[in-house]
Amino acid sequence: MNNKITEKDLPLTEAVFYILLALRHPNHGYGIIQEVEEMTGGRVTLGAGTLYGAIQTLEKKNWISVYSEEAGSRKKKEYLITDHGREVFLAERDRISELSENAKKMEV
Amino acid sequence: MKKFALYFDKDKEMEWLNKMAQEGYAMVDFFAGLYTFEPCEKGEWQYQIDIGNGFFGVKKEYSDFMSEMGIEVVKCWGPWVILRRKAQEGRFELFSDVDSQIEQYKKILILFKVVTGVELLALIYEIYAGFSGVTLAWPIAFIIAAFAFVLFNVIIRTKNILAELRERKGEAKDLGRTKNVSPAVSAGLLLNAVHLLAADHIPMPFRIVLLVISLGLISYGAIDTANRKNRADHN
Repeated sequence: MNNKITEKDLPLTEAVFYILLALRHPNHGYGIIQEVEEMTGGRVTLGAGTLYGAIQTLEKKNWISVYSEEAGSRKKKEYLITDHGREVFLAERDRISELSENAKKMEV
Repeated sequence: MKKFALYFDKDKEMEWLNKMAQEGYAMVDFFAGLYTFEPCEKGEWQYQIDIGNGFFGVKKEYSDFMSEMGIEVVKCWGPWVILRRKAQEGRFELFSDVDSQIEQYKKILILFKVVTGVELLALIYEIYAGFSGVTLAWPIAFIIAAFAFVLFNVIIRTKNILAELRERKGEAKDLGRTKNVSPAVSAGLLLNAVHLLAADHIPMPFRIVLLVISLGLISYGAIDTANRKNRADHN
């Protein structure tokens, strides 16, 4: 699998940024929504459809992977960020640092 | 309680289902335009519609994921997925950002393009059959044509929504909105189909009245559509 970060990968959408962040430790769907809501003080509430679509895409891109799957009829899945996902996230963090560094120029 | 309704617009359908739930009727089943409602507490449920990836229901993974969020898959109908959640759990919105909304409307656009394509093929077939003198071919052709205009409108509406969402994202501005085809066109085509179907059963003067009305509706619709385009150009 080609795990190089390409131009198309960045910038991340706000939703993807926070989903990756919430998956720095194993987390399941509802847990991600709650954690993102807490981190942003209720500003970002991920919709279930948005989250489902993002998880599918991120899994396909190999940025996250299934960490554990509950046995039983209703399989609650936990996800975790992959090494490659971490690389992408850090590249994005550098980009955002640059933004906020430059943003300071606006202060007089 | 059962109610018949045809919705080609998921936003309007959602609005209607939520209004029904507000009034104390929770939608529990659907079959070919027939909605089944059960009494519920007023405003107990909130409904949302998702467009799945397949024509044959959703994966178990999907319904498991949704049920983890307290969301129930009420009914799958082709790629249409009707979902609901208890209102007490807070505002129920499936798509929280512009990007995922764009993805959603892109899916809808592809879906309706495919359906319209199939429709137009059927129309060509029926017109051919009509010229070959097959009974009922003409009335059916008019019904299909009326339906095709409805589908065109859905496509145009979806494109306009997509353009708006992309504008909000700061992407390139689109070149002028397209206006819808007047519903009078579809009404006229349908009436003309009725006229053809009933041809042998109603007296001549009445037939002529029907024909005149349907032609009138079609031409009114055509003029109305043209005017809408002009208005759009002026804006």
